[in-house]
Amino acid sequence: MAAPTFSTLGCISDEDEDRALVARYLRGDRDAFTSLVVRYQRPIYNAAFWVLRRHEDANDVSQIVFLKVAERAEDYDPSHKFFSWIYRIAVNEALNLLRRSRREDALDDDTDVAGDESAGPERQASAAELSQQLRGAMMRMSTNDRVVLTLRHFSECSYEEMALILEIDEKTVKSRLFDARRRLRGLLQDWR
Amino acid sequence: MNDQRSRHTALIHSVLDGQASEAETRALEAMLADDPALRAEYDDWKRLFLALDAMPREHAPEGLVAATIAALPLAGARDSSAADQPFPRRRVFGRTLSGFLRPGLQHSRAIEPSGIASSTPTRSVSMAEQSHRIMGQRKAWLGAGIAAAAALAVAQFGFDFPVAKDVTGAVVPAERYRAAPNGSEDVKLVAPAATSGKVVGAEAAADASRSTAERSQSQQTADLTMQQKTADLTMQQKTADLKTADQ
Repeated sequence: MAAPTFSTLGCISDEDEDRALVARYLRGDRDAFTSLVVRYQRPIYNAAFWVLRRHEDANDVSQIVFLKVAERAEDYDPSHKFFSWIYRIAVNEALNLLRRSRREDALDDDTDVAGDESAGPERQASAAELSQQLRGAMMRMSTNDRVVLTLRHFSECSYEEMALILEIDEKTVKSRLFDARRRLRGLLQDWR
Repeated sequence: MNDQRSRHTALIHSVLDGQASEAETRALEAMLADDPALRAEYDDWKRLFLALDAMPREHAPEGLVAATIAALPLAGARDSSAADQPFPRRRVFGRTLSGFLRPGLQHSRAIEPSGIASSTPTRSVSMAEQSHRIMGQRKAWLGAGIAAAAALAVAQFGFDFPVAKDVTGAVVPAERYRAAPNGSEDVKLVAPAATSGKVVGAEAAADASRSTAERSQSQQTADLTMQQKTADLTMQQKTADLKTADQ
């Protein structure tokens, strides 16, 4: 059997460079912080969006996360991975906003949740159609399911990294991922 | 049976995640070779994993970096000059601005990662500057509104525009008064004079003036005569009265 082509080597990051940028910023180099924002804006925005499912909220949370990192950079422990630290902040901020706004079931206006309905039985869908169906299905999933799927598949985090970010043990990560995928697969019954 | 199937599925997930050990991967290979149904399931999951990995990511808004960096100097966390300030600058993440925020954005106590203080950031970090701009715009709109109200007041009280309900009838063009033209009956012919008509007219006017003066003088004369007579009568009466008294 061929080795999995999508094995994870860690979240999208260069740990040494991240630490160096943080250190430079702590010495007063604001350009270093700009580099961190540029580097992490998309992953953080995606993590926030898939929790909140609203672009406006994802944008707000992303800004909050980066500014919080700026203010608390001295608290960062270089012995840990920077991306784990910032991801944890992002996920927590997004979950906090979700709890406060109490709109778990509300979706963004431009969110397309259609998809699986358009797929016929035994239909061989195109890659674009598959993506659309997956997106629609994920939008209907619970927050916990979306978070683990996002961290694993969009941010390419390992079980260990997910455990660190979500503050749960690896076994629980594995279990949550397994359940989330089965539910996702259940939402795509006609998908082949 | 179901438990075994679930264990196989979990193993498939671990292998496809790249998190399985070499021993687990070899064990799955052996099972897949002997079990076509498990192979079909493996292929199905693999397709789903690949589709998830290939899903398009959301694009961050274009202004995210700029807005974040623009708000960064306000934080002042890393500004060495801050230590020289006699008073600490206001913290961006402070609660002082919380009253200006949407309720949904006001943090209580966030669940923080270890090592992060629980002071709570808010959306205000990017709104601090925005609030200044908004206040400026509000002042401009307020000024414009006051000017418009003043203009309306001047128009209302400074000019006497008729109210629509007070205006009745039709508007017709104004007509200038014209005297009736002289007719033939208005022309009186007089005897021709030796001189021109202009001189005749002047003499007539002089005559009329003299006549009026004479009438006025004769009236005055009559008045004086009457007054003299009255005085004489009064004197005669007094004389008669004195005589009567002497007798």
